Amino acid sequence: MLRTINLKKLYTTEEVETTALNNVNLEVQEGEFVAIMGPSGCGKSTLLNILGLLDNPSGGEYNFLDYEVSKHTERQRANLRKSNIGFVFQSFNLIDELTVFENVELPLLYLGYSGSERKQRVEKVLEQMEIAHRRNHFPQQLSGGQQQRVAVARAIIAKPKLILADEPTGNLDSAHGEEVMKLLTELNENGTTIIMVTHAQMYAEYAHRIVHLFDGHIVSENILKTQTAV
Amino acid sequence: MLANYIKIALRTILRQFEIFTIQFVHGDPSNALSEPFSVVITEETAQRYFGDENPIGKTLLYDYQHPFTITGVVRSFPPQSHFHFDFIASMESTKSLFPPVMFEHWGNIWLYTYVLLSPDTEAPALEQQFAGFMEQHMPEAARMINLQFHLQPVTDIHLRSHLDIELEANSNIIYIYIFTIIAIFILAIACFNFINLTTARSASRSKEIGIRKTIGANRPQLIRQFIGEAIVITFIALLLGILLIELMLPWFNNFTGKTLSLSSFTNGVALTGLLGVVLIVGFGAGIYPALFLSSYRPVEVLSGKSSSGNARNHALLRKGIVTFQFAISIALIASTIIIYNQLTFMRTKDLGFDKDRILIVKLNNSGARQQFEVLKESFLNHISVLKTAAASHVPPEQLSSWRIRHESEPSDRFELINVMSVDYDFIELMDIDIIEGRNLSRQFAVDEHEAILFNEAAVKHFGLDRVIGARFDLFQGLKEGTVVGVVNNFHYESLHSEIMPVFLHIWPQWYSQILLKIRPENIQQTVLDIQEIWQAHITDWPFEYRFLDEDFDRVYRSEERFGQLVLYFSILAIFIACLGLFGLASYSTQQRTKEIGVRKVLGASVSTIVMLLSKEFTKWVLVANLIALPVAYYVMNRWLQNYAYRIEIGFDVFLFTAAVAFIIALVTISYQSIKAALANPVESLRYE
Repeated sequence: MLRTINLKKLYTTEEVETTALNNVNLEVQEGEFVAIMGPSGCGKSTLLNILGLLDNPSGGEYNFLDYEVSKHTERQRANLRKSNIGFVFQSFNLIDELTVFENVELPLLYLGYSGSERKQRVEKVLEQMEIAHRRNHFPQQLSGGQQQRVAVARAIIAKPKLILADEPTGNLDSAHGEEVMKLLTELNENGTTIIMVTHAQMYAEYAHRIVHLFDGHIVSENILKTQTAV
Repeated sequence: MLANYIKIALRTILRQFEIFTIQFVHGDPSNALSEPFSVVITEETAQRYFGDENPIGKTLLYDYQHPFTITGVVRSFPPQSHFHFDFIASMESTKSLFPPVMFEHWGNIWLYTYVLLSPDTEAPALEQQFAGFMEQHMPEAARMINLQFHLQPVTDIHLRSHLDIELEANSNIIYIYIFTIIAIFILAIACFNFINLTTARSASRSKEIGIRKTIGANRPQLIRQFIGEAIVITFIALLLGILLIELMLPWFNNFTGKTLSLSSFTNGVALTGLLGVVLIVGFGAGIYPALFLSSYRPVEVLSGKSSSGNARNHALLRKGIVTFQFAISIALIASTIIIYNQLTFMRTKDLGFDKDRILIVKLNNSGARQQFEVLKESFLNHISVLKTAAASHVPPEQLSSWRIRHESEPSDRFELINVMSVDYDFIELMDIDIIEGRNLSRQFAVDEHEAILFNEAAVKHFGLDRVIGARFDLFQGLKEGTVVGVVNNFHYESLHSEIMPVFLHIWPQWYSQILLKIRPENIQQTVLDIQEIWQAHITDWPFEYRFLDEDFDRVYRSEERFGQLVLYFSILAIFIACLGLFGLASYSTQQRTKEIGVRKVLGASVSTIVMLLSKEFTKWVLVANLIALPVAYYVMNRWLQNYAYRIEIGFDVFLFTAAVAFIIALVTISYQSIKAALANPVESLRYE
């Protein structure tokens, strides 16, 4: 599914140059569930942004679905991104001014789906996430767990091959966290590749494999279980 | 009782120095003008004729033959006076200069009568008695020419008199109102910017407020602090404003032809007024931000939260304000366009004659008037002079009117009709169309004494079955007139006035100018040559000339200045409104950074984001258009009523204005929205 070779990311300000990622070599197979762990500032989010085609690396190669994307322009990345990758964030990143339905609908809007098809698919996903009864509510009227369900619904609405989750449980209590992890596992079992950044060991253990990142390097990998056949 | 007032009025003429505050430099105000052929002159006039000598007792010769003795020297009237003079001659003298009919007939309305009312007299009550007075003393005149008397305060003449023949061309109070309203609007736009930007940027002060509250400041103290700040800022703005006035006054005076100075502000009333404005503006602009800022709760502020429901209300207010500002700008843009359309219309409208390349030489003395035929002949010999003609009046000069009567009417049924005394060549030189009958012609011996031409309006006015050959009594038996032709309705006055009935006839003693149609090449040289020809014939009077098209342009100059001023004010208003919009756009995009980031991550392109951000403002500009355009239509339609000949306000003006407003708004916010749309979403989503 994706492979990075000597991936590098430097942040330069006027005075200092910070190396966020240094020679990261990572391969993720289709259908895999990978957790990335590491302390604050180790480069987890930077890696996720590059894997998610939100940012370009400063050096190295990144192959995504057989495309070498490290030199892609913003427009090319956006096109590849919107139909193949879904995002789940720690702080949900729902748009406050839009209803649950409209938030979930958004990716389809940008993919150019017709109104009727959008409605049909959004309804289906909302049912699947068990928040259909909240479709006309605004995000701030929902609990944290419900908001994250909406965010997951938005992430999977376009049927992406890859879901990137950046601390999806970070703002949730343990019961709601558990719930979200179950959702992700379910999605994975149905064939979606998942890469998740987390601080919490208990949630990382839902994955097939844990990658430990420290100071921009991959320091170790633990394989917890083998991937179920797709 | 009424007779007393009239006596006062007559005495006023004789003793006008008791009514007008004229300052005498030399001479005795009480009897300066009691004798015939006495004259009082201004200091400038004295300087011009006599240098530094005391002119009292010296004589000035009027039109070759009438010596006037100088009995006084006075200061000139200030510029804002409604009339100005170089000489004032005694009323008694006119009796020797003008024919008796000028004094004997009530219908001869060539005098301006000033009445000094006693403090306890009500003007309207006095006015009511005029009808009875006329019935008693002048029943005939009142019936003949529909004469009415009314009073107006001297101080109202310049701005509020809309009468045709005032002593000097007047202005109109509507301009004062319009500019006052514009000034208030611009001030309002600026105040709204202050309110908007202060509240939008409140985040940057929220920490200060939190700390102040935590250490014990209560709300009224904070409100006082913020209003105080606003008033101080306004006061600094006042000082800057005064500096700006000082810098711009020379340009402004030059532009308007006025002599305004900053010293008009240095009296107590004006200064108090200005300070009052500072307090009102400072308070008005400061109160809302003060209430808004002081309402912060220290815990929320210091922990970085803000209450969002509150924020939504404030956002609505901010948008409302920007909408209002844009509405003002839009109304000004539409007005500017309409004014310019009307000006263009007036400049390009077919006047019914050809006003180009007509040089007017003034017959400024009786010697020149007597030999106008010789002058015409000599001018015509010049290679560049194509045609010559003589006339009493040239458009757009104010015409005189004569009382004329159709022969079938009873002998006391006169109509007051405008008259132009012209010679045989006038119609051809002016290229005025004869639409019925024939032109005045030397081939018909009677034309010199009898022939008259009517314009279409005169034909309509009298409503005769057969106009050619109709006979009229002119000026109560002064002359007989037979209509020989009808000319088209040419604009002998500016387009402010409707074309009224006019008749043209041969009457050489009234000719006051010679018109020359000249070739377009070398006009300067032609003028110099004409001057030489003049000097060969007239040795003791200066050569005075002007161009007819320039006279017409001059009539519209005040409108042109008006148009330019409104244009400048529109630009100023738009600029200030755009500052406000820019501020709001930057605030609004900043508020939506996260949303924009999310949308981009989900696949929104840069253009979709720009559209999204622009759409919001577009909605408000649309609302602004809906408010402003009807108002502009109403006000400008009122203004256009000043013109008898005017444009129709078309829908295209409003369409164009709306388009301009949208473009200006979009360009203003484009910087912010493009910047926001191009920003890397990773930055905005990194961490909360």
